[in-house]
Order: sequence, then C-alpha cells, then structure tokens
Amino acid sequence: MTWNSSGRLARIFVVAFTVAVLIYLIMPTFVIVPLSFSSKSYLSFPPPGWSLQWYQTMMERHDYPQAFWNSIKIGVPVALLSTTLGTLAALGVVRGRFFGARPMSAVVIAPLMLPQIILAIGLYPIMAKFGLAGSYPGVVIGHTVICIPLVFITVAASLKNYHPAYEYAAMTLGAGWWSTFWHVTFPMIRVGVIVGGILAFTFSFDELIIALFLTSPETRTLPRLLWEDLRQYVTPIIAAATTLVLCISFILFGAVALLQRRLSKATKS
Amino acid sequence: MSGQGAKIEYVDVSKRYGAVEALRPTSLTIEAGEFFSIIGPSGSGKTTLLGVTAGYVPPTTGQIIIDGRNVVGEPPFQRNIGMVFQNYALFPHMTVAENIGFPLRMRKTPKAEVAERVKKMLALVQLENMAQRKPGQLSGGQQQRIALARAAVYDPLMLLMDEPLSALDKNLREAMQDEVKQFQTVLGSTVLYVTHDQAEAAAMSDRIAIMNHGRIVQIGSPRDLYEHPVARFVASFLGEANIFDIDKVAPHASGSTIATRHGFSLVSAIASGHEGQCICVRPEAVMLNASRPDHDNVIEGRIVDATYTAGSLRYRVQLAPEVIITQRTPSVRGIEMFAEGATVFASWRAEDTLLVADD
Repeated sequence: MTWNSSGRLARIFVVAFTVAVLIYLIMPTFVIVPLSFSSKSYLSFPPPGWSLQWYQTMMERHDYPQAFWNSIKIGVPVALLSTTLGTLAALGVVRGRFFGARPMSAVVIAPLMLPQIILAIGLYPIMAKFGLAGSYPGVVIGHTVICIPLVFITVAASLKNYHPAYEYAAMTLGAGWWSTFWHVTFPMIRVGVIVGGILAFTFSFDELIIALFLTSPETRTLPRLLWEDLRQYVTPIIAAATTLVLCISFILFGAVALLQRRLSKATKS
Repeated sequence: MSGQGAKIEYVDVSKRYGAVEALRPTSLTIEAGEFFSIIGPSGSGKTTLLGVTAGYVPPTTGQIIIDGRNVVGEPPFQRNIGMVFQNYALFPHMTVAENIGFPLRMRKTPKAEVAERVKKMLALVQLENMAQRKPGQLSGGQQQRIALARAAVYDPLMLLMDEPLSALDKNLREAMQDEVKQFQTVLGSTVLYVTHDQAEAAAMSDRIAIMNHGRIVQIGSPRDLYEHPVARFVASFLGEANIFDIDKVAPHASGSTIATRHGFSLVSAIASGHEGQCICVRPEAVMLNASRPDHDNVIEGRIVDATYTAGSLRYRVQLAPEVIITQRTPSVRGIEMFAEGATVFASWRAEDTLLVADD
C-alpha cells in the first residue's frame, strides 16, 4: 500500500466516523418529526400514513395555544432580566479589580452546574412563602437564576476578547462611566449579549423541572403540558407540539451561530 | 488648537499593590511644551506612572498638579488629558472620522464644529481621504496617526503616549518618530512618552527619565544621560557600556588613578572618585591600534570578533581572561579591519574614563 492510498483510507474513516457521530447526536431528536405527521392516533415508527390532522387538533385545543403563549410570556422577561443581570455580573467580574473576583465567577456559574431539581426544591417553599408559587413572576425568577450564568459566560467571553485599553481610551477622551459603556463597551460586547439573551430564552422555553414546581395550570409552559399529556394519553399531538418547540429552538440556535460567525469576523478585522 | 501644553508637577507620588511598591515616592516637574520620555525595563514603574497620570490607576500617596490643579481623585474623563495607547485602541465599530470626533462629542461640541475640527486634524496627519474607513482597514502607521489625531483634537493639557510605536516595524518606526515629534512641535503640547526603546526616546525627547525598580534613577537630556550617567544601570541601559569593577581609587590633583579588580591601572579626569563605584567607557571612546600608542589609558588585547553593520564597525576585544570590551568605529568606505585573533592596543582618554555608582 502506498503512503498516498493509506492517507486516503484514513480520511474516509474519519469522515465516516464523523457522520456516524452526527447521526447518533441528531437522529433521536428528529425521530419525533415524522411521528407528528402520522395518520393514526398512536405513536409508531415509521408512521403508517401521512396527515396534518394532529397539528390541526393541537391548534383547536385550548390548552396548547395557551401553554405556548405562557412559554413566550415567561421566556421573554427571563431573557431580558438575565441579559441585564448577567451582563452586569460579567462586567463586574471581568473588568472589576476587587478581592474575590475569581471565586465570584464560580458562584455566578453555580446554578448552571447544580442539578435543577435541587434549585427547584429550594425555590418552591420560598416562592410559596411570598405567594409567588404558580405565578408568572415566580417561574420568571426561577428561570432567571439559571439563565444569568448563560449570559454571564457569553458576555465574559466577549469582554475577555479585547483589552480594557479601549475603555481607558474612552475615559481619557472624556467619556464618563455611562458613556464609556454605551459608546464603547456595549458595541464591542453586543454580539455576546444578544447570544446570551437568545440562549436564555431558549433555555426557558425548553425547561421542564422548574416549570413543574413553579407553574400552575394557568401559567404552565409548553414543556410542562407535554409532560402532563405524556402521562395520560400518548397521541401524535405530543409529537406535533414537540416539533414546534424543536423548530423554534433550531431557528434560535441558527441565529446564535450566525451571530457568532459575525463576531469572529469582526474580531479578525 | 490653542497650542499650549500645561506644566505637570508630581509631588511624592507613589503606588503600592499589596506588598509590591510599583512606584516609590517620586517627585518630578515636566515643563509646559516639553517632550519628556520615561524609559526603563518592564516592571520599572513607568507604566504605573502613566496610569496614575491618566487617572485609571489611583496613586497610594502624592499629588499630581496639572496647570496648578491637583488632579488626584479626579476620574480620567475629567482630567482633559490625551492618551495614545500601545495598540492605538481605536474603536473598531466607528469610522476614522467618528473616532477622532469622539472626544468632541463627549464634550457636547456642536456638530458643525466637530466636523470642522476633525477635518483639520485629518489634514494635519495627512489622512483626509480615510475619514469614512474603519480602523481595521488602515495600516499600522495610519492607525497610529489617527490615534494621535484623536488624542489631540480637543486641545488636551498634555499628551500621554504608551509605547505608541512598538507595534510598527523598524523603518516605519523611525519615520513615525519624526512625525510624532513634528506633530508635538506644531501643537506645542506637553508630552509624556513611555518606551523601553532608548534610541526612540533619545531621538524625540527634550529630557528623559530612566526608571528602575519603581524609581527614577536619573533625569537629563539624551546627551547628558549618555555622556554623564550617574549609575551603572543608566550607563548600560543607554547604549553600550564597557564596565570595569574597581578595586582602589587614588585621587590626585588632575583626576584619579584607579586600580580595577582585574589588575588594570586606569586614569580618569574625575578627581572625586571613590570605592563603591565602577568605571564606564563608551565603545566609541575606545581606539584600536596595531602598535602601542601614546595615550592616557592603553591596554593590550586580542580581537575576539568583528561585526560590520550599516553605520558602524563593532569589535570585541579580550583584555584579560574575564574582560572583553566592545569598540565601535564608523564604517567608512575602505576601512581596514583587524583580523580575528590579532593583537591590538585599546586606548582612550582620561576624560572618557567615567566613574559611576555601582548599583
């Protein structure tokens, strides 16, 4: 065997392996999609026939549209809140020169690393005490706790991407604290902030455990409704709703990927 | 462009980070319109001095008086100081014109005036046709000029420059030295220039301060510092120096006779020499001859090697088993060169035997 042909063989192997891993990663997620177009009223793969009836049924039921809007009503304020707080935390930890800045960043990231069930169990009695269990503010606060670290990580990465000399420069040139942030810091971390916000929304939109503890039938989110439905009757309606969630998540992840490409281009120039 | 820089006085300014004294109590006056450089190795305190002047490093003690006003405690944006950073720190999301106009917009200058002053500045740095470009589309030298224009457009009391030319290649750096100097002369600004490149500082400065271990070792004109260094550190930081350790000094009427540690007996025109110093002889002061000349100091040696560079011919000469000195002569056309291993006589005048503190 010549060196050249063995090199080609190795390349074929690498490509085949990569494709196999990708299939392994993505396939389980996509199995649900054809199920939602099934003509029968039970879940089987592959579907015996094709129809859009489950999408129609889903829209006609009152609980699915309501849960969908609940997810958005919770996701948007979570994204806004965690973007603001996460950005401030990143500014403080990355740019601040105070004792304990490093341990501080571990504390900020902790809610993301800890099991969500622990957070949910801890949050529930507190929310109940303040009369917030089952309300929108209750679940918004719960989701924000986990979403702050998401924003913190993306914004901290943007801040570490450039030297604080830009901010010193703005200040020596006469910009106050607020002007420096608004005219210099924010434009340079904007992509990180937006990406963090999208991730926060996506997280809140997909999250189940905290929603189980902190929402009521009036405020329940789409993932919670899916979970409750699953326990009672397994119909392709669930597949249809899941496909909807999938679509929204993929659109948002696509937006993140595009933004990050813009970011890496901007840093190169 | 009013063309008047301010006078800056530092009174016992110091900075301590925990146990580290980054800047020991330092007093210094920079005259209005002066081009003042600070040179020193990294960690010598020069960047700290710049930081406390700009206002983003709060000093531990002392006062900084700019134009009669103590600015310690004032945030950077109230000090009215212009600063040029090492990597220019031009805002990448703004055009060249927006960058230069930034300090004026921060001062709520009327739009028409901003446009006019930006235009004037662009003309001064000869980049009128680059106004609408982004900094990323400019060359290093062009970015440098824009950074200068931005730091000077609002007539700051002084200009601070933090190694502004270090990112440029050598030829461009030398051309930019002249431009920076020209720029300062036209505007009449007071400049505090920080660099680790002694040649760059010497080319532009009225006076230079040499820093080491958080304090200023010596202040003087480039010529002063080279010809009359006070300490071994200054002598060897600025250009090349042949250093001899001293064993014994015997002062007499017209100078002193000095026994070096390696057994040479040298004469110096300096009568106030004492132990605890060392001798510095500049490479240009040394002459090499094939036969013994009649001179104040003559030592026989052997050529170790010769390096021919644009401008000068540099020899290393072994005088004793542990003593090698360097010698420099202008590399003129047709100069005759000594061969490696040749026996030569190194000699210099008593005036060129400098006595400096051994630090």
